[in-house]
Amino acid sequence: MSHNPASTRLVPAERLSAITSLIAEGAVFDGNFHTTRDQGIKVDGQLKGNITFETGGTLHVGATGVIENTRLEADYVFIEGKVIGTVIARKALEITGSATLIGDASYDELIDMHPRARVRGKIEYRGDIDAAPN
Amino acid sequence: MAKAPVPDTETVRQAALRASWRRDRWVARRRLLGRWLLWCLRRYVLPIVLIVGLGLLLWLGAWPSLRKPIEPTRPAAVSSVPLPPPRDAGLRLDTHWPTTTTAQAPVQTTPPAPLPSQPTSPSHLKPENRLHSKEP
Repeated sequence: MSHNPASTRLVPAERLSAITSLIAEGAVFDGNFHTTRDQGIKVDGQLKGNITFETGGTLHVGATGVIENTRLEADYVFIEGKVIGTVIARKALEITGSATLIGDASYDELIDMHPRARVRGKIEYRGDIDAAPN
Repeated sequence: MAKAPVPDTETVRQAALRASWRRDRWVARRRLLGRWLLWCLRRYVLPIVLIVGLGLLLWLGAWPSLRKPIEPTRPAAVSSVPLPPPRDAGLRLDTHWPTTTTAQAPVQTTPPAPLPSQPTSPSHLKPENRLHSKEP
């Protein structure tokens, strides 16, 4: 049995292990998810709606997860499944080789995209473009 | 009778996450492998298959437009009238259009050889022309 989450490059494994909510595979959730706490959600099923973490937050779209008509906003966004909508990652955005993103994505600090990822949309860096590299 | 221990929330959460990660790993690996295979098929295998298939078609002569045009069979030059070009032959550049001079039978310069054995008429028989002629 796997005791570790999927191997990530940007999103810390502790963040993925601290997921507090789960939409299981085969489940269909229609509505918005909103919280002010620094929590996490993993979507393995189907979601039609928005997910918003006002502060912090980790969003993990599993390989079987499908999110449609959505606006996702969190500090860490890790996409392995399919997302149709807008994604806002305030810290790190990671798109794996099994992911499909149809829509625009923006990030403030870090991005990692697998060469086999399927992205149709605009990727935008929201940070200071002229800032000195750290 | 001892009661089964009821798992607490944290245990359930950890178990659900572990099961989810395990499924994720297999699905992601399978999907990624499929994407790489599809890319390899389109990038390398498909052109090779197309080239080999086209080569086989040409080799077998099955490509209809690349067949050799049918050469018209010209009979031995016995008639002096030039033959019209065959209509069913394919378009081709023919620099030697047959003319009447070239298609004619060669002129015989030597006198024809005498007939080998012409029976001589007997002297008591008159030719047929003389029977109806009024000349002496």
